[in-house]
Amino acid sequence: MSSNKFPIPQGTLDMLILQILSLEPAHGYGIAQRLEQITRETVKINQGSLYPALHRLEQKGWLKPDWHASETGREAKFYALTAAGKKQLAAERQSWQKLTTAVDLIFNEGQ
Amino acid sequence: MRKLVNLFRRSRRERLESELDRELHYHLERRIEELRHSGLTDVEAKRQAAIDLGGIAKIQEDVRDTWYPTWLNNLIRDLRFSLRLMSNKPGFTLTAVLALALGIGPNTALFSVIYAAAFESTGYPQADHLVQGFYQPKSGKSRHPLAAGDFLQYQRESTVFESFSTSKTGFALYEGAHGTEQVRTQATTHGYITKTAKFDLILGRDFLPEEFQSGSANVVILGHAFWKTRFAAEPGVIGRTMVLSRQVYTIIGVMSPRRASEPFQIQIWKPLVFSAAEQNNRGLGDYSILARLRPGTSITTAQTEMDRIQANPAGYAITLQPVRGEWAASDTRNAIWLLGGGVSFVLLIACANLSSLMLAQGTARQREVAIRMSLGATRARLITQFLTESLVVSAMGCIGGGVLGWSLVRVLVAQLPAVTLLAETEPTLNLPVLLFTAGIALFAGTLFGSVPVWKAASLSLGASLKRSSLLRLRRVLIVAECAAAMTLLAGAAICVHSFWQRTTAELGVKQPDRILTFEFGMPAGVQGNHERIDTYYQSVLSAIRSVPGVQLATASAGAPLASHPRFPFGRESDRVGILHLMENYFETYGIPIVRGREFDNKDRNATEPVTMINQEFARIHYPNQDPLGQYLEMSLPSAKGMVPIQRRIVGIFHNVKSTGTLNLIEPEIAVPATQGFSVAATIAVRSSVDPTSLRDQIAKTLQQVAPTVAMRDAMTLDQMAANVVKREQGYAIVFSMLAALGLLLSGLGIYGVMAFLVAQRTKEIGVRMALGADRRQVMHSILREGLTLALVGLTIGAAAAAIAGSRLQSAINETQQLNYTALAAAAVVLILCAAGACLAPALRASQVDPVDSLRAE
Repeated sequence: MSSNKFPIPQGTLDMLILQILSLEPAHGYGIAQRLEQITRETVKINQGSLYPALHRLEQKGWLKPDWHASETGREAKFYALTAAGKKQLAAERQSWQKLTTAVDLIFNEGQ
Repeated sequence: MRKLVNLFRRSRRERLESELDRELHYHLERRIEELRHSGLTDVEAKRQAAIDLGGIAKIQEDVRDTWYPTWLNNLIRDLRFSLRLMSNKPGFTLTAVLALALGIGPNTALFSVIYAAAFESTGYPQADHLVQGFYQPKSGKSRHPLAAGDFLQYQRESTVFESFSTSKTGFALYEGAHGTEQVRTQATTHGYITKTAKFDLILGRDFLPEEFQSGSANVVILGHAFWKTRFAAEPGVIGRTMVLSRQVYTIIGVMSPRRASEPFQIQIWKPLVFSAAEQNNRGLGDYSILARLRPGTSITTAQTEMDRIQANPAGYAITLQPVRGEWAASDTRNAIWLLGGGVSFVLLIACANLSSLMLAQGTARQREVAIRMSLGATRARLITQFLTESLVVSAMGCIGGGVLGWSLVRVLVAQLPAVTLLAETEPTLNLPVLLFTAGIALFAGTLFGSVPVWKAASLSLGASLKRSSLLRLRRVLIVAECAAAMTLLAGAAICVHSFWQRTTAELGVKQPDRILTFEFGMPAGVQGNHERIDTYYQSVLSAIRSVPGVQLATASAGAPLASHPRFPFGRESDRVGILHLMENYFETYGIPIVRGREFDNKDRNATEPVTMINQEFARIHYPNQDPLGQYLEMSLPSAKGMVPIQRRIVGIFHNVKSTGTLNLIEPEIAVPATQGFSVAATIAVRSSVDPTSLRDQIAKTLQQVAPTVAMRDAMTLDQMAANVVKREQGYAIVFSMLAALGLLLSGLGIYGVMAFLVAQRTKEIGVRMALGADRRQVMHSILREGLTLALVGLTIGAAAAAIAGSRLQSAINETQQLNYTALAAAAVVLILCAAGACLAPALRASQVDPVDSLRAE
């Protein structure tokens, strides 16, 4: 089963987290679930690597943590995108598009 | 910076940790629930959730890494590790911290005091631009002030000075609200106060140029202390008048506060007005130059210019010298360097101690290092860790040393008044000095702390870890420590012994409690003429003799326990005290004439020049000869230059204890005042009753003879002797403290090494015991090992002490001969201390249980 999944490209995890959080604030577990759904279980994400990434983004000031009751009624740490985070997401999305366009161009060249 | 601050806010870290914990637990619980819903059993769900998340410890580490930069994380980890290590080894930690604190504290304290006395003692702001000038004979070192005419010519013709001035100190009678008292005055030329000396005024103004013209209004500036005590620090004092020596002066300014150290006991400043006659005086005189160089001008340039002006009399050269550096009488200076040397030895011992401890610590952990290296730790990482550890210990030691030093400065200020009074402000802990000493100690500690790691790290992995070379290094350190301790102890023993000699040595004066001495100057009209001076003092003495209760009275320049004018004689320049005596000197003090005769009425100005010498002078300069009838050539400064005079030795008088700080007895020469060149006035009165009860009566009588002069420093000789002893005591106490410290530290060092040796060799000792060695043999071998090291150190130290000691002794009391008793005493104390330090480890070795020790590994 895991052999079908490919490892997530380096550096894209941060971008995916920012993207997920741009929809609504979520806690770590929620993000993990969302990631799995969105990537339709094609991308292998080590759940453990999610937390260092979240804390790193928080340190950079792109995420703002907030403790409040979750859907189960227990306290959980919710992360929300900050203004800087939104800017960062926009920048990353743009550069990602540039990259994919460039890659597409290269791939289409030969056809 | 905020991150660094946060680092030390433990609460932040704790909060982060607990939040991370809750966050991860929340994740796990939700995951377990989810997996249970999908049909897994509790156990399986928990297991699967843990696998999905990955190792919690790893995640925590990774998350923590995001909180701080890597180096900071490592540092925190190292610091925590060090603290844990230190609390695991309180013995090691305590010894190291103690060694450091005891090394750094006294050093910092003593050198702070020395620094204050030596480098801040000029008392002048921006003293590096200040120079002093005087005449020096072309063949000689004595200094002579200039006559007014010479000073004025230099002042007129020189161009390199921002300000060129001179001053003259004197006394005046101040008629205050509470009676008349003598005050110390300084008459200064224009610019002296605010331009040359750069003293600040807190009230009023400096003297104006026109106030230096003769015939101008009398104005004064008050010293701060004088203003505070006599005028209750009243700001409205400016413009008021006061009476000084029966003349009315207007107060125009008040000085800012300065310490009342010797050169600054001036209470009142006046303009120095040269009379027309005085301006024509040439050659030697009363005025030394104090001048401030223009910025960028060197003293050599200035000297060249001064030489070119050629106002100097024949046989003399004008000499400029920096004001800085001339900071203490030579005997005080000697004492200071001896103390400085002593305390440096203490630091040396402390460093050796610390190094040896660190070395032991590192050696014991070489295995740990090797293992960690083979597990992939980089050498840089390991060294950083070890450095952090030694720095943590060192930091604690430095803090301890700082606190200790801070409190010791107070002790020193109290014990060494002769030294601390030189300082402009009361010495306090000097931060640069603290940093310097702490730096040396830290360097030694970290250097030796990292040696074992370097060694272990450079070994190829798996190679056997030999300890022998490091052990040898430690042994060398112990030997060095013992050697330094021995030198220190010998020095202290010599000092204490000499102090004991001093305090018990006879004064050489009969019934010192019956002798009152005081200083009594002469009025302006008398100065400068021999006959008038002689007549004046004769009348002073006969007035004193008329007071009931007075048996004898004499006047002299130089007296027992008073500072003498020094006379350059032969090689031993400025070592011979010169006394100018009036009649009855020897009877009044009760000093026996050993041989020959005393001066009498027939020794006049016109008769043959004669002199008397003391026993010490005879011993040094006339060994195995009869000095009586021999001639002494003495060159005396006069207005015509140095004039050589042959004086016949007519008598030898008994030695009298001198004031020299470390010198018990000094060679002395006496000349009759009638043939001398100066009579300053120490008056001695011998009475049949307690002489202090006569003081007021004598003062009253003298008021009639010399209404403008007041007696100063009236004291019995007994009190003076007590004061001298008190000063001496300070040196002996401080030196003994240093020696005790050195002893303690080397004891600690020996103990540390021996304890370590025993711990390292527990297994070997166990084997030896299992093979039949008895406990006493084991104990002996340990004791022997320790004592051998101590003995080697002692021998080296004794050799060093013999060299240093003979120098010290020649500084203390003339005798070049080494004090073997003191040396032997030091050796015995050191051996006892070493034996004591070895005893505990040796006992521990003899208690080793063979079975336990072999099972230990």
